[in-house]
Amino acid sequence: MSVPRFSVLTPVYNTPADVFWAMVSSVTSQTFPDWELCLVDDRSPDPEVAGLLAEAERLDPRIRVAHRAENGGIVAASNDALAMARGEFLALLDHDDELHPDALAHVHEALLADPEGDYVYTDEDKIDRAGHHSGPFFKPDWSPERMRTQMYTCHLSVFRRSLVEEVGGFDPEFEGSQDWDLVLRVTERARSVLHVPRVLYHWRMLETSTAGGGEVAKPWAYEAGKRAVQAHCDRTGVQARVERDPVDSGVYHLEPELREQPPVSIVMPTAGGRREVWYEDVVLVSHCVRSIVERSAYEDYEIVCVYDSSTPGEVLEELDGIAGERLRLVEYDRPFNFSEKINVGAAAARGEHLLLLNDDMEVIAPDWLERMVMYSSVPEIGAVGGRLLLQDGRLQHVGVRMENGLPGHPFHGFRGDYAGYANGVLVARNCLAVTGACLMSRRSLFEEVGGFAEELPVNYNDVDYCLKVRRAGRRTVYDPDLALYHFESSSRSSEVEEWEKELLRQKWLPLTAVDPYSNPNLRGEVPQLSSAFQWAKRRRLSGQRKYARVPSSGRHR
Amino acid sequence: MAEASNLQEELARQEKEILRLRSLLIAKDAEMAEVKGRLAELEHYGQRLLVLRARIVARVPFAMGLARAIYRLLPRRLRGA
Repeated sequence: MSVPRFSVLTPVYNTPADVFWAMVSSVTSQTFPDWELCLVDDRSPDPEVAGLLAEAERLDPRIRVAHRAENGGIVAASNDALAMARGEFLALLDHDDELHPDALAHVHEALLADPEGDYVYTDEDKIDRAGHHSGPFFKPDWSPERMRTQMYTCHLSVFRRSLVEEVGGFDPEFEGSQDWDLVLRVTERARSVLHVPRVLYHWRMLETSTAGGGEVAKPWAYEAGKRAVQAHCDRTGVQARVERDPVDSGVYHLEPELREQPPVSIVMPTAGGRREVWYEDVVLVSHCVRSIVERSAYEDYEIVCVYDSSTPGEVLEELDGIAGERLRLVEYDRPFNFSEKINVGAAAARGEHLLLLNDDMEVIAPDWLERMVMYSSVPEIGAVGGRLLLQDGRLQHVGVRMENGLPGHPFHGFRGDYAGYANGVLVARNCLAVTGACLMSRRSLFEEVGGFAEELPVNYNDVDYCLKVRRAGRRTVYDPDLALYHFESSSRSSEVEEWEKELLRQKWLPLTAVDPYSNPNLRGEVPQLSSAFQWAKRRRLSGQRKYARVPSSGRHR
Repeated sequence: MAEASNLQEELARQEKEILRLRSLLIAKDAEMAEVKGRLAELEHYGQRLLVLRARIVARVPFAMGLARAIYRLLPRRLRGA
């Protein structure tokens, strides 16, 4: 018998007849025919289940059934299904969920476009017992940092079978989050991870499912998720302890646990400007340096202040009084060029990691440097940024989103606790760029990519830097737990010149035409209204589901 | 001497009062930020609706007039009046 392209693995346990047949028919009605459905009954107490399975087996020769002698749980049943599978790829389908009729066809298409794809995931939505769709989840392309703080790839997940076997299949230690653990272990070795930005999986909301009941339905699953991410961090050398969010059960946090503290140089350009901060007239750079010195728990750091020649002498004396031996003053006597000031500071710095920090910032949490070093020490990561807040606590920066080649700050001015679409503001994730107001990079990488571009003296030099980092094969990370105040627009004018936009486009299009960390169905980081209409339309045309037509994804390693 | 001491006390009292008022202002700012943040969210969604309206008008020029006419014909209770 020839090997099918896809084996759909479905452990079955006490499945109600109506949702069972909905699941089976969603597979038999696939427009791509080269599949097998591996159903494994995990010793269901409901006697009706055996009859359902026998009937399904008779229905189509591609449906194969196995019965476990004793109940073993989802991992044991999934491993039995894996042992039955003959397909080149494994698609995971829960016993009460449904596939879109074109699901396997689109995944097959993506794999043809990139034969090195070892793991493929798609967008998904929720479906109720009556078949009504809701809550579409339009996902970003492969975002390893997000995967550590949120199981965002979830459904539909398709794995290369040989790789799943190589990593040892599903691990019973992570029962309830076994799929998250498997994705982490497979992607650690995957040559390429693909995303199909189409809703191809419908997750049924039942009282007993995670989609419907959340933590109440499966509390152990969230604890298993934490353990799975911790194991992944330990394997991959991420120096962190994993914690669950106290409010949102699907959100996790990485707390830094550094084995050593490499030296950090904080490079801070300044002109010694003053402004009112919380109803007090302050010298910004002194205010910022004081917050660093008073609040940072990190020990091995220096502050390299690159000051304009016009900076008042008493400001420099004050800085010396605040920071003492940690302070290094570097004079800058040329016409204003932010990039050049950064480069001059970086050249004078001695640290292994460079933290570029505007002088109109204020540190909030003591572990802010540990947090940045935790990410910056990962070789595949090239730039780290955080969640910046206006002085009244509203959001100023949560990572840059590129649209038509130009950067934007999503959710600017929104409430400080705004969660964003699919908790996108609350979870660590990758983005194309972060603001240079607070950006950490390894010094070796900074030098490798040529530092900041001096032809961009005022705006976009940070975005340009992050894109150079990306071109060098490294990722940029946004960490929401790294929060600082940014007294915005104190440092320089926020006006962007037309020539600056043109230069950025010239340098980086087409790479920046479509932001891989957004989704074609999102606009301004929330679902487009047109896609919402597609939903309404689809509900009316039951049986002829229509989805937003979007370009297929690129290749992501 | 007594006058200077009184003045010092008065200054310290004033300083304390300024700090108290400053803290109040900062707290009020934080409260206002909640409202401003919510407003920014609503404006964001409002803009999306305006874009949608423009698209509809571009495709069906009389759509908005028609919608207004239908709205006027609705019974008052359905209009939320």
